[in-house]
Amino acid sequence: MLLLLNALSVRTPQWRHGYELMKETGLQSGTLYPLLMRMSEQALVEAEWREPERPGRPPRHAYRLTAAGVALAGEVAQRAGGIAQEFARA
Amino acid sequence: MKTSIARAMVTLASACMEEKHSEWGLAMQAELEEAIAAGKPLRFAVGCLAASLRRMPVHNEGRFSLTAHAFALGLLIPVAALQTGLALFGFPHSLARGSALTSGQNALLGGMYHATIPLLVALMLVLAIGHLGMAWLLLNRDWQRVVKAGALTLSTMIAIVTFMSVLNLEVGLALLQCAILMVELAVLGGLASWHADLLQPREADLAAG
Repeated sequence: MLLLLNALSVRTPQWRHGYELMKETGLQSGTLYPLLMRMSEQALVEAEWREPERPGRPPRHAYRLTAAGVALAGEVAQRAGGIAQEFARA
Repeated sequence: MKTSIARAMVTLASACMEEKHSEWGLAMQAELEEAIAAGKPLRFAVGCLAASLRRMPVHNEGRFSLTAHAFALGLLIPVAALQTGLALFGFPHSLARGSALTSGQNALLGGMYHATIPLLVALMLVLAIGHLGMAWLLLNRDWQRVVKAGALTLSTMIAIVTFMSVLNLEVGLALLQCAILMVELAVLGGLASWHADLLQPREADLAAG
C-alpha cells in the first residue's frame, strides 16, 4: 500500500491508469486491484472513467488520491523521513 | 491464443466480482488491452483472476456462488452420472439377465418383466436429465424452472418406486435415491431463499433511489 500511496502522491492531481501504476510500482494486477479497491472504499483514492487515448480502445478507469489520501501520504512521508533521520544519527 | 485465454480469464474474473464492484471488473478488462499491447496479457489476467477468486469467500454473493457451484458440481452432476450409468448398464439390465428376480418371478413372469425394461431405462434417464437440468438452472439462478425440473424429477422418482413396488422388485436402492433427492430439493430450497435474501438489499436500494 505504501508503494501505491507513494506512486499516486508523486503526481497528485493527475489521473493514473492501472497498468501504468503496475509498471511504476512493480505490483502485479492481483495485488494492485485489491489495494485500489480497498483504498477506494476507505475514500483514500477516487476513480473515474476516462476516454481512451487511442481510438478503438474501451474507456479506462483512472485513479488519483483524494484529500484524505494526500494527507495520509504526507503523514507517511513525514514519518519515513523521521525514521531515516534517526538512522542517520545512529 | 494467449490473448483469447487472457480475455476469457479476465471475463471470468469480472463475473466473480460482487455486483457493487462490477465496475472494477470492467476496469480490469479495459486495462487488459494495455497488457496485450505490452505483450504480457496472461500475467495480467492471472493476477486479476486470482484477486477476484480470493475475494469470493469474503462477500455474500461470492459465498452463494461458491456454494451453488459446489452443490451442482459435487452432488447434482455426479448423481446424474450415476443414474445414467445405472440406467444404461445397471439395474434394468440385471433384470434382463434375471438376476434381480426370485425363481418364482423368473419362471412365471420373466417375459413381462423383460417388457418393462425399456420403460425403467427411460424413467431413470429422465431422472438423470432432471438432475442435469436442476444443476444448469441452479447456476443460472432460474428458480421458476428449477421448481419445474425438481417437480419432474420428484414425480419420476415416485413413478419408479411405485412401478418397482407393483412389480414386487427390490426397492431399497430406489428409496435411497428418493432420500437423496429429498435432500437435494431441500438444499435447492435453501439456496433459493439465500438468493432472494441477496436480492433484497439491491431492491431496497432501487426503491430508495
